[in-house]
Amino acid sequence: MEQIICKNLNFSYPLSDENALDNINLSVRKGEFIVLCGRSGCGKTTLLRHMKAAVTPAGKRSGEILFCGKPLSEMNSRDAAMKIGFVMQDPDNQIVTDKVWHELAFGLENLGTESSVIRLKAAEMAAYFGMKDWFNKKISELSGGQKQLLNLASVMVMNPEVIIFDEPTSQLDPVAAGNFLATVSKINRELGITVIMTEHRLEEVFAYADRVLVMENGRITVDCTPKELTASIKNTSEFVRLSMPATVRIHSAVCENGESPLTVNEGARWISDFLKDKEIKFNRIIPKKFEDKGTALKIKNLFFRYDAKGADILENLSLEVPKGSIFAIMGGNGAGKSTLLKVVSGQLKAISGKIEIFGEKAVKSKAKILYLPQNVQTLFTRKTVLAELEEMGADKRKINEIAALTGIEKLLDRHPYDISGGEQQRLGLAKILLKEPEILLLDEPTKGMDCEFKAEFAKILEALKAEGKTVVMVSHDIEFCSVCADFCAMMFDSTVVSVKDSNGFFAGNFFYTTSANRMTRHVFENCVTDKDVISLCKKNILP
Amino acid sequence: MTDAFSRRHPTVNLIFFVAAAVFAMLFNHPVFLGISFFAALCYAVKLKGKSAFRTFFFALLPLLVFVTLLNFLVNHYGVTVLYTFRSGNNLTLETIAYGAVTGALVVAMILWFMCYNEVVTEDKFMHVFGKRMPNAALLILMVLRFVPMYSKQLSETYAARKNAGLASDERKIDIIKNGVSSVSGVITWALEHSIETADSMKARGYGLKGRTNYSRFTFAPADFALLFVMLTLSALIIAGKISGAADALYNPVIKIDGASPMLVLSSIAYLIFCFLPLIYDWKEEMKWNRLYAKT
Repeated sequence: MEQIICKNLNFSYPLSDENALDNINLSVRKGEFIVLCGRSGCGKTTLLRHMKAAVTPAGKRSGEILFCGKPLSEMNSRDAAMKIGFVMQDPDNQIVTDKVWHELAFGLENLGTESSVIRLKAAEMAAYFGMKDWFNKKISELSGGQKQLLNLASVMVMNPEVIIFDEPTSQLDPVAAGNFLATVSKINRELGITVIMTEHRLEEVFAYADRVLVMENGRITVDCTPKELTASIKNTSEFVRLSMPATVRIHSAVCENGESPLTVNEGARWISDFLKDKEIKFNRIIPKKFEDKGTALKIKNLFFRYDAKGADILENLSLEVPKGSIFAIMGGNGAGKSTLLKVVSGQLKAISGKIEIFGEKAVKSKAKILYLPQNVQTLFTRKTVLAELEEMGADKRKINEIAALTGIEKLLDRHPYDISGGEQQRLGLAKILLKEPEILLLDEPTKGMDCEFKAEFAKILEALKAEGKTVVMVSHDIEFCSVCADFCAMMFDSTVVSVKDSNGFFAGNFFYTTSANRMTRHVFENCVTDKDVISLCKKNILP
Repeated sequence: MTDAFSRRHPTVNLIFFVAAAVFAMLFNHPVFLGISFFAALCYAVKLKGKSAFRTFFFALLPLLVFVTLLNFLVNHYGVTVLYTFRSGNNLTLETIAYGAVTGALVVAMILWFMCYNEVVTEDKFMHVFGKRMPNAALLILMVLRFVPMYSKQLSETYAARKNAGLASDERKIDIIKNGVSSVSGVITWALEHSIETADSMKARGYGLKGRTNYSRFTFAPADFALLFVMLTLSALIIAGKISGAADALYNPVIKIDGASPMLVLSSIAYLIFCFLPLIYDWKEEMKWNRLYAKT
């Protein structure tokens, strides 16, 4: 049964001639799991917002949207609130009340439900989503992943038929994101709720989706199943190719045609089959050598804790960062990664231990060491991007140079809050760069970026490295670090447990490594990135 | 919360504290004042442990002494002159006594308020008032959530700007400049983010007619029992006040009512009332011990 139908939908924002939505025709069947992808600004969010009357933007519109056969605009507002749920990107902004249990009740309160009924429904949801341990907590005590689950649960409590998700995992770390997507898949499978989702983490969502839509410039250009999309990958845009899971990217680069593997497991079987008859002459790649130019940052036996009597957040931590390298610090939540950056940048004072910068004590050193916080919006206080850059006190020439380097020269007139998350990250970086730091500390720089932005961001970091700057970043993003870092350190339980060059680090790990490595480890010794795998595959099949 | 009284229905908690405060202000008879003072102190210690002692000895006792001192240094009424200052003003027993009584009253009220803060948490308060004013209740709730969020954002903004090399701490003017920029940044941030909050509220049907206020609390028999006891005791206490058996006068002469049957009855009722949370807690603990403790 068709649940939502968009017929010849056109839409343009006020004061704009361009169509944000251009002749959209779409039908969604009950119980489908639909993934909508496309680069930022292609109209994904605009389309999603048209399916929920309460959040539809104002502007010029033609065409119609039907929900269960009736125009969406004629639906009464009580039904509209109940039947179509909407979950947004930022976990924090959607929460209204201060307690978990109250947030669950919020929607039902609006509908005028009796306390006794709310009690039952909230209990049901808490049990279904496994919220028992944090049901009584304050919102401020929750992690990002828990907040996003709460947002989903507080929509679910109203018993919706469709839930619309607008990039729900972009602010979450990979583990929390995986959890969240698995939960979404669970409500789709077990409760038959229709899911429409925009997402750029296609790796995981591909396994759950029934249909993939690709949008470009306000049009839907692709509408097919994930399998069909991977088979026709060569005909799609660069963006779609970059967003594919590693298995698909490798397959499409090596094979002319054939069905792409979607999961690591399928990928591993495929590569075995692919190299079956061939003798594997090359099973190692030679990692890039890093040229030693001395030490930029040296940390020795560092201790830190927030409370006098509390546990150590950093415990006997030692680390050496080579000059001119991109150094990634990885590890789970609460391992102390961000705290380490704050101690190094001088925001927090170490209890004991030494920090040396270019061989000098950190307090005496004049070398500039600057910190880009995870939440870059904390750096923005002006009305335009240009004003933000000028605030840093550099001259015109320097501003143009940095704006070109970070690729924001076209955004100079825009308001810092009107540009996308990836662009904000680049603006933050540009601001810091204008102060000409020698060492850059970046806290989760790729959070909220799509794959295309990530590739560009990696290029910017390479350019900085070429200028001789040292970059230390804290990140969850395995794929990103494997491509761009020279060295990786693993933090666990308040200290650094291993430091290796990037290739050795990921090739040596069993679980904490890239999908390219996991799917090829039984045939190749140390392939970490797509490029590694592709080059070895090609070498081996050459006659 | 370990205290049995705090686990009772918010209405019971709230009525108790309102009555305790009203009674404390109504009576200036030393016996009544002493009971209220001592009960509030005991309950505060029960709820907050050592830190209540610390507050009492280092802040509240000095306050009591200060109020007493202030009273007899400023006022000079009364007939029992103890000493005449060089300025010609008298130090009288009445002013000392009245100062001490006022001081004790102020301290007792503060102690009750400390207990109130521990027992009547935000959500209990919201439960009592939210039913009548669901929209105002929601507004208060949102303030409770957003004020800490904004202040966190402000301190992060301040730190981020400092670490980006935009400001230093060295001169006062730099600190102020950075502070002003940070505040303006946070205001923009808050406005931007509140748009999303508003969307999320609308998406979940905020603004429909007939909004209710959900509460997790339900009345139990013990709540009715406590209310009944409190009501009975209050009647006896008020009877004592109306009959005039519990009056005390400090100006111009000290005149305190002596023991009369009415005073004894009323003060015993007051004693039980003020110690009610502790008695109730003790009773619950005894019950638990009887049922589960191994001898």
